[in-house]
Amino acid sequence: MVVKPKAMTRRDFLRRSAAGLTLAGAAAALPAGAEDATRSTVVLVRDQAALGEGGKVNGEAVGRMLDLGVRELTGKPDADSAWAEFVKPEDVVGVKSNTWPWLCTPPEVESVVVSRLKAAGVAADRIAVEDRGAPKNPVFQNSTALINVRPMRSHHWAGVGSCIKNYMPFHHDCQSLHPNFCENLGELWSLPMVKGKTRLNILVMLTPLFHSKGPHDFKDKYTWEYGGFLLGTDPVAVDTTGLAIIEAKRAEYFEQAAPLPITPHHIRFASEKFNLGIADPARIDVKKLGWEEGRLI
Amino acid sequence: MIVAVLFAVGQICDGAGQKTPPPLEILAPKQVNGWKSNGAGRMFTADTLHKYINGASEIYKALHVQRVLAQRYMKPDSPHITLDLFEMATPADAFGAYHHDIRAGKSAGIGQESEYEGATLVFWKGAYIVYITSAKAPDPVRAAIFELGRSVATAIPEAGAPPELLGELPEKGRTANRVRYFHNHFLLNLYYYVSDENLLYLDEDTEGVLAWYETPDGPPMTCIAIGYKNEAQARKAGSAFMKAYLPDADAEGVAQLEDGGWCGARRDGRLLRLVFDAETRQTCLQALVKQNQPREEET
Repeated sequence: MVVKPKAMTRRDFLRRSAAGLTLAGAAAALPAGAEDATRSTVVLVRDQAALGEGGKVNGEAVGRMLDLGVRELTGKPDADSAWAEFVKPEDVVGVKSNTWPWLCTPPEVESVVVSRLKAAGVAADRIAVEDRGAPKNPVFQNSTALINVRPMRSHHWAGVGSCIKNYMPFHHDCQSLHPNFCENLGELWSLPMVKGKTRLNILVMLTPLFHSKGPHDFKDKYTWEYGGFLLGTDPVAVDTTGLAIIEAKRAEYFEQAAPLPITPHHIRFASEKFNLGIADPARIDVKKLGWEEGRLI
Repeated sequence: MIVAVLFAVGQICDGAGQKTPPPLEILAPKQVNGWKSNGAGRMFTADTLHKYINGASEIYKALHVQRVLAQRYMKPDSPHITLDLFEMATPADAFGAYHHDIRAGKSAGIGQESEYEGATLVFWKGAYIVYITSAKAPDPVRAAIFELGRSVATAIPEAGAPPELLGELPEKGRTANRVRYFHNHFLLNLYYYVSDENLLYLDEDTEGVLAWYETPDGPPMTCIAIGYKNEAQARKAGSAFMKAYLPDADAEGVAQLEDGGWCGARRDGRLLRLVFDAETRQTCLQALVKQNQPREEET
């Protein structure tokens, strides 16, 4: 192997820090007004009633929260007109869910999404909810629109599993995306069955997983009742915001700054390499609704 | 009560007298405390493991996983229990897989090292790392998890040695349960980011250990020892590291970095030692010297 003369090392980061060349500094150098064209909006909606006794998901509260979220996101006065911004009756809509057994997209959430799509005029036979079976599902194969909905969780190899990663089943060779801690997950969004179709990203933050341990990543003790959703049309901005909440929870739990063992740099790559959205928190407007206690951001 | 595994399973010798590991299925009992195995378990290799645990498979592949048995145990009106039995290439790899995670839970006294935390028992013994888990663990489930663990541990024929390289790291001040074992630079970077390039010429034939040491102020000191196939490889890696990372090192191979911490590297035969974030030059130098005195020849 030939060592490239400009290998980036830990030492280089130390040198840069010492010289005051931080990313924040670089962002501040943007010309005034330039950022307006490159901003994204994410809605965080929380409700203490979203989870009942034993963590049971309250479908009614979920409906209220998602309606509130899409209204805020679209600026429409009511939920019906807000949902109608995302789909039209002639659309064929795939709801890309997540069935990871330890922390799946709750059926109550899927049910609300489907009901709102129907209310927007999409016929039932033009809607499908799938995870791993999505590529073989005729609705997904013929889809004109996708709704991307999954829970937020830490992940052993990608740092986090969130909206960007949720399209993994569409790839014929998932392993090919594993190198360098999944840096190229953004590539998923260029696949023919996906490209340009995503109308809405919903990152389920009801009981996020903030720390991974063991081969299956999951331990109940590393989840908490956050009772929220993040909504946005920009998957990178949604994931960036979700990550900020996870990092804040980790700092709270471990009583010190405790970055994820694997930096989820696929989010940054999705922005810089694949142009999928904005990963700079300074250019993301987070609109916060509902329950404030323990919001963390 | 265990009914299936009544005796420890010995390793099997092939015609040439080579020991081959026992089939994984033999290590898993058919039932324990009323939980019965749900048919034949699922078997995976390094090439198929991602179908079972997705991205986490990369960690086990980096630590030379050979085979995995995933066996589910069921009991009416009770949560199921999952046994994941990983056969690694060597005991050092099993040790590495065990210490990949932070181990802050209580020891279960099973296998060579173990932890029970949040309805999961994990232990390593020999070249095996074993996870036994359930969604919830009220007392009967917990008892079954422990019984299952003891059964598997008993069935694993032999204990194995932790990485010999650990003896090359300072013992004094080492943070308990915070050691790591690796082969390639992806795993090293996961534990302590050094460079995006493979500056240290790590590959599947190298092995390294890393440990952290508490300091009164500032970040913990990180010590790394890497064993290369031969002296030439170690020399090449050491030179590449000094050129890219420590071009300003003094005659003893140490330098103070921009954040005030001391860093150093020193080669000793086919071994390379690295120290990061030492508080003083003296501490750095002390950590770079050979830790173990050579053993006396047995007579």
